[in-house]
Amino acid sequence: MPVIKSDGLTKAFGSKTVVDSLSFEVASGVVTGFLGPNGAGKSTTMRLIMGLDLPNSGGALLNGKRINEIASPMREVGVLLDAGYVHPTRTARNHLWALAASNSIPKSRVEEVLSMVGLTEVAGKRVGNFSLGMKQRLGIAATLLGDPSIVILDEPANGLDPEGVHWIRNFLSYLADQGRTVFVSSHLLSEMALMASALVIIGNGRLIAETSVEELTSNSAGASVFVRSPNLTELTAALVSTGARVSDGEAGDRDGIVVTGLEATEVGHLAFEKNIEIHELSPRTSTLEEAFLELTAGFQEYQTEHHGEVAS
Amino acid sequence: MIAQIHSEWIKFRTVRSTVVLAIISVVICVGVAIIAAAITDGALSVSNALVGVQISSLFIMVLGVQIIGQEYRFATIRPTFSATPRRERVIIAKLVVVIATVAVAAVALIALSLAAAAIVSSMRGNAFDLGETGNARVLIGTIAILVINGIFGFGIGCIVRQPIAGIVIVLVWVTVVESLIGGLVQGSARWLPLFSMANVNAQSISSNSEFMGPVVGALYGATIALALVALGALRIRSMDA
Repeated sequence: MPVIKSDGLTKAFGSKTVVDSLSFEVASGVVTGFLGPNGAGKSTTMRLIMGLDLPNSGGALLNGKRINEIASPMREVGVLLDAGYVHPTRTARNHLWALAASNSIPKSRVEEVLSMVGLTEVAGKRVGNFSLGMKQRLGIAATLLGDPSIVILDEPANGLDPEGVHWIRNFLSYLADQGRTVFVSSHLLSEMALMASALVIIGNGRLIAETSVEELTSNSAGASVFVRSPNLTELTAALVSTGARVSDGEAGDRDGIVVTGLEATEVGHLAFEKNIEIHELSPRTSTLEEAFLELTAGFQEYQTEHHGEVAS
Repeated sequence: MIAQIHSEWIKFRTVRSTVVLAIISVVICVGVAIIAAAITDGALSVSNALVGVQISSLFIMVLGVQIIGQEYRFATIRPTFSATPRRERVIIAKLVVVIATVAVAAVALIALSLAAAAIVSSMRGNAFDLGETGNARVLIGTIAILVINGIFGFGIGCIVRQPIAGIVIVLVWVTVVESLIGGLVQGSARWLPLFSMANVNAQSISSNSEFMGPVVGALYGATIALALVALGALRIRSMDA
């Protein structure tokens, strides 16, 4: 059973449909990246899942239940939508304590999660004086109060310095290693490549793909084959005649070309048929970034005139 | 439900502004009691010692607004509703905290104001009689009015969901709206939520008073205040957090 199930979620603000018939599933015990360009509807979707925004139609289930059917939600799902959702004059400890109390979580757990995120020393200080990184840690501490099996995080690395990003990355990996389901939105695709095994990709509020990192990069049209040959001119002509696209190899690699639109085996077979000698034949997957841009081309909220160049 | 009340109680007492408002409401009433005792020649009545309640009521209403308004202002309502998705539970828990804290503040306000008035009166050689007829109504009625005003402010806060607008509405309502409507529309004053409670803490009630009796007035005021909370709760349930 999927632990998070979005079923036809639709949400409009005025005449603008932000989430449009969005259905996807998040499997248990894995890190699922929730990707999409800015304005794709990721945050709204997360608020809809948590019952904070009310959908125009459709619904979402957590562990098979709607959020308002769960007796102690914090024990099943921990959520961090924005680290800024804190009262500036309340201390970190009291912020966590108030949340914990609402789900009958003992005060001792507050100290445990403070220690897990390294905030014990400053727990008695007002949150208004915290840096963004510290607030982010506090937000993550809050998600862990109920020791939930599902953790939902909206752009947890956003605005953090490199050290903060590194910390978040390690902490999410730590959560995943504990067997928790982590559903994390991001536009830092390289981050997703490091930790997510599954991906839900949306654009303009609609589902673009439910896939995995490997699938996304290998199926992408950006996947290519690098070929090295002493007879590039003849090989290029043969490849182009099949409809494949050929471009120069990397700089400083003048005897190689990059072929897209054909599998490595097809390129090898063609060279064999044409009796062309080849010295290297290596499949190259596109980077996640390239694959993502390709997939979401046309879904960006704000496109530039040069969008095509960027996305290609 | 106990868990939500506990949570709301922690929230109330761990934020400076709400606690400060409760303290100000007490201090103002005590201050006015001291002034009243200092300037009154002759015996000071309990009712006159507690005349500052009218000002304290304003702060209590603002306190009511703040208890919900601050959650929206700082967007802490989102973690709150994520932790307790059944929003009506949060509203009820906050209502319980409003009633309990205002009742405690009211008792403290009365006790300290009367004590201060008694001390100043005795220093000036004036009488301060706690045994007067109607004193029980003044004391119980004062607690009731403050609690109802707290609920009233909370109801306004639930409806507008932001502190500044809520506070402005409360201030304008108290200082302008009721006086204006009561003055312009003959016979309307007895139906206005705050005016309707004129006799709730009155030391003596005139037989031809246009206002409701103390019990009916208190019930009427409480009903309107709770209706505002219910209206606000419906809005909160049906809108994005």
